Amino acid sequence: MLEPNKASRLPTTGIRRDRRKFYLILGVLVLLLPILFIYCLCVGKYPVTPGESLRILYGVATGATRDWTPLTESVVVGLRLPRILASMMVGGSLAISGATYQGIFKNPLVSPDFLGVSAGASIGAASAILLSLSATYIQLFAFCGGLVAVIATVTIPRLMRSESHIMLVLSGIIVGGLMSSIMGYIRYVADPTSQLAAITYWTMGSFSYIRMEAMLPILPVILIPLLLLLRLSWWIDILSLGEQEAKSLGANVQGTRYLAVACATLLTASSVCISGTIGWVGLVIPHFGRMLVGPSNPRLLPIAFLIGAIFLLVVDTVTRTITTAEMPISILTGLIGAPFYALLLYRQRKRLQ
Amino acid sequence: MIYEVQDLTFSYVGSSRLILAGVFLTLQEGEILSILGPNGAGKSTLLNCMAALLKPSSGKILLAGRALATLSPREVSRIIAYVPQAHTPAFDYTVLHFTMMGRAPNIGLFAQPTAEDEEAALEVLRQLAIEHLALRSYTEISGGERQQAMIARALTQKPRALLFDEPTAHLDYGNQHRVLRMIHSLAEQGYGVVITTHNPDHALLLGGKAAILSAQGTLESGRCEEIITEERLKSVYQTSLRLLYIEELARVACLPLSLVETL
Amino acid sequence: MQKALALLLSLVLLTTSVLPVLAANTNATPTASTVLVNGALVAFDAYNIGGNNYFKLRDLAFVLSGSVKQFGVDFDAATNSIMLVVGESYTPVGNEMTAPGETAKVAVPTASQVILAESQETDASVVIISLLDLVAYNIDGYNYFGLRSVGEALNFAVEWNEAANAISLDTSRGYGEDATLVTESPTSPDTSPREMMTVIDMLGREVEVYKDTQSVAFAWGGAGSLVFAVSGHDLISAGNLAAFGNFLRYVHPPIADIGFVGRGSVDLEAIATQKPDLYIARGTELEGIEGVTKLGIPAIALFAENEEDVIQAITLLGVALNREEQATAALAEFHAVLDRARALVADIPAEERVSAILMGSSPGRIAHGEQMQSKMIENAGGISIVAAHPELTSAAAWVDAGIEQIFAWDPDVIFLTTTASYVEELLQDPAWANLKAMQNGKVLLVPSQMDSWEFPGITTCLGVLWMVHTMYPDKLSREEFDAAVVDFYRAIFRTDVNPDLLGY
Repeated sequence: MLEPNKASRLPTTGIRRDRRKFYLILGVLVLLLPILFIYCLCVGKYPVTPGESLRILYGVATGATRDWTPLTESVVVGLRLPRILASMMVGGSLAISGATYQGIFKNPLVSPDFLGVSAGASIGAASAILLSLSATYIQLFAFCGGLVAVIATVTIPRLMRSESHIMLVLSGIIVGGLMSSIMGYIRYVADPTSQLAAITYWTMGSFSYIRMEAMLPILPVILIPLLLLLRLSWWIDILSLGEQEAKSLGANVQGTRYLAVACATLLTASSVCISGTIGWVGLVIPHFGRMLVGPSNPRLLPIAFLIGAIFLLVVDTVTRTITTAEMPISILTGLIGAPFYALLLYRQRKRLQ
Repeated sequence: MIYEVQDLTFSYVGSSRLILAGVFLTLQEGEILSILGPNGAGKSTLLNCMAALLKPSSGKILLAGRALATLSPREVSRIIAYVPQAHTPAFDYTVLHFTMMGRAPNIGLFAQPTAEDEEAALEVLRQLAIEHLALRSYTEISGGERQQAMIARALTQKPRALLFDEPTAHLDYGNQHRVLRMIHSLAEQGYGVVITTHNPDHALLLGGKAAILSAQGTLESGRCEEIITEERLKSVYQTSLRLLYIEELARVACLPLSLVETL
Repeated sequence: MQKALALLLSLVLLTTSVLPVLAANTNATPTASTVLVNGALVAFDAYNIGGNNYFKLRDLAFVLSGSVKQFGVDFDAATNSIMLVVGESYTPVGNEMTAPGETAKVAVPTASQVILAESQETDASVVIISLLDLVAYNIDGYNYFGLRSVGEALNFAVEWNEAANAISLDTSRGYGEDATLVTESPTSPDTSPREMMTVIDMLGREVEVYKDTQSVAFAWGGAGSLVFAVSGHDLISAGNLAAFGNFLRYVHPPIADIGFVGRGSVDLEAIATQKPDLYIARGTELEGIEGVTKLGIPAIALFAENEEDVIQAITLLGVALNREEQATAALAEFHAVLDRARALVADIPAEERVSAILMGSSPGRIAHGEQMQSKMIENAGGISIVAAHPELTSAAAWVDAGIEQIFAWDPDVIFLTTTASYVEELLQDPAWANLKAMQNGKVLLVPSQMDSWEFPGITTCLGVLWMVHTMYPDKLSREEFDAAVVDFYRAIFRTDVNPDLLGY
């Protein structure tokens, strides 16, 4: 056993510093989230002071006597609160599922959409709107549509007895293309005075009407896969090395991959059925996270969740406060996400070459 | 006895060509086995079968006395470590993190590495004298350093044997020999080592056992000195060469003839 | 795979380059006349060769199957000829009623034998009656037979209606019976001039339309109500009835059988087949208008985004369809209802005014201040809250004000359009329960079951009156309103409606 000399102590200090940096970033984000939560609860078009909003929240939680109007309470607790919670949950879920897909498929350019979840969910929702079903059914159809699309995408390579990645990507393209055509048909037969607008609005994504009762049933479908993915995160690193290497390190490649993909898909499908399809979050946020804490998933996944939650919370709050008319959120995430992505790629251009 | 390969055959699904046509070989602790053969002969296939990455068409592979086919990937990874050629990965993990992945055989599906695991990996890096690379990105270091990191990861698995797929490919002259030296010392430390190589001279440098896989899929193995003969090499590589004992180097070296035809 | 694709591509290129060459040598043009079978418009793949029209036997058999002059088509192997079996119903084989041809073709005379036969009642065997002498041509592998000869053989009437440029098949009469016209259909579409007149449509275009327009077509759902108000169902030959169709079908069921020229945007081929006298377009449909005009069909553009538009559109239609009296009468009724509404609310003091908004396809999405629906609220004596927010506007219709804004306004009344699929959830959502409108039961869907009263059209005046009734029930009772509705529909649509069916 060698005497620990100065040279061999270096990595340890470096490692400790690196770990401290991670916890600092984590800490900042963990603190930032509730601060923004409270801030966003206090802003909006309805006239209620921040102080009053907080008192209402506290009062409702503790059952204190009310000295505010029922309508004000409805706004704070029935409109803003579910909306804020939803935007955080959806933002975080999309970011984590994007990071997971990118790790599993060894491709940082992949978004949670490439297996067709969003396309399938859109068709589910559009069909429900076409059939004039209530919002609960629209949600349910969207969820099922997303799952069906992914199952189709994953089944095609299996039918061809191919385990190659390329086959999966192509399958995603095929299913995505099919979904687009079906969607086009649905838009064509939809009543242009009513249903078409509703369908378009849904596919552009929005948090404008979120009900607590609608969100609660979905909560477990988000939390359980979320926790599973956080626990699986290190093995996603292993899988990102490639099938052969992962297997040689003892990984159950197929099983782990399916589990991770299933969890990420459930996260995405749940998110989409709450808010409609929102683009760019699942693609760009993981990159940003990697820039901050590196690509290792045990660190990346929680950070990506926090950044995604903060991002979508802020963007949604902007759409409902700063602009006079509310803009569909996908437009904003695209306007911010696309140039930001270009910037990220620019900064990494050396590596890409 | 780490490996007992008995009558191994392999052909790809849908193909009638036998890549491996009844291969027999063994590997002991502390032994080096260099597998030579022309391009496409099936050296990597053989290695992959031994690493349980491919399923043989017929035959038996016994790993530490047990049938390889009955072992789970995790069990296999506790006994052998597979070292592929270094490649550019999709994500730029740190060398330390990369090495820590070698602890996977001991980490549960829903678990994550502990401080212990980190220390074990760090220890391996120290052994290989590359601990200064610990926090460097795997993608930023040189090819030779990457290969060393690969070896570090393999050693972290605490295997009994290591399988190297063309470990000297893509390395510069100096790094090639550094890696060979490392492999040699691994065998001296008691690890069983199997490498595939294009270069007969490397096999001679390593010493130990050698095996030649023909284009027909047959394997001849035995001691280095016995197997590596001019005759065999000429017929395998279809090129003129000489095996000469060099006084100054105190060893037999494999050398090609001059490029200008003299005969 | 690539090779096959290249081969396919070159084949396609070859064929398409050869076709025009073939076309230059043809003498068969697709029949330009419309074909009516027992009064119904049917599109046939038929050709005009040398002034006579030729049809496929299977197509005729298919269309006439079920009528008294039905016949089956078989192949008689013994004589190697086609056999038409009188009285037998036709069994389709799948290649009938293909789309009408677009381009002229080469027609090759064929000497196909056709036998007329009939089946015996006693033992269902087939007995040959006679050998037919039919002129036939082979076009693209199919045999086409002269319509008149087939009509004569199977004894159904074939007539040419010059005014409508239509060939008429009638199974209720025999061939040559009550023939109103003897001459064959002309070699080219009827060019005898009909009187035209110039109108200026709502895009400001000067359009030449027929003075005696007999048929009107439209692909724009909004046109139905406007046309109906002016000319009833008489002139509508083809159209997209859309939402208004529910009402039209109730008032005049046969309207369900009108032709089709497109949904939203015009289908140029369909309209070329229908050949109406006039095409009514939405003012935004510029390409469609151009395309239809090129086909030689007059096209006029209308807008109907607000009250002024509706008045202008009805006036224009009155002129274009030669129904000025009806148009004036309709507008008089329209104004009468609006005036009544305004009068009822004229002297409501400011503090008793009711505030209202109209919500659209999603919560938070409302009609902006300049939109017709907001004007309706104002006409009905309500305060259109959004009108005080000119920043909440959009180039087209609807604006996303956001739910919180609506809560901040807390309007007295919330109207919902025909679209609202979220209504159920909204009505049960505890967060919305604290709104004034919810608590007073004033979250209401504008009646639209049969005929939408908030969709720009002649009946939007009833929408305004309805709003008066809902916002100021003491000014207009339910009975009074019902009576007004019944009177209006009787006057405009000459129909007695049941107010319950209108869904309010």
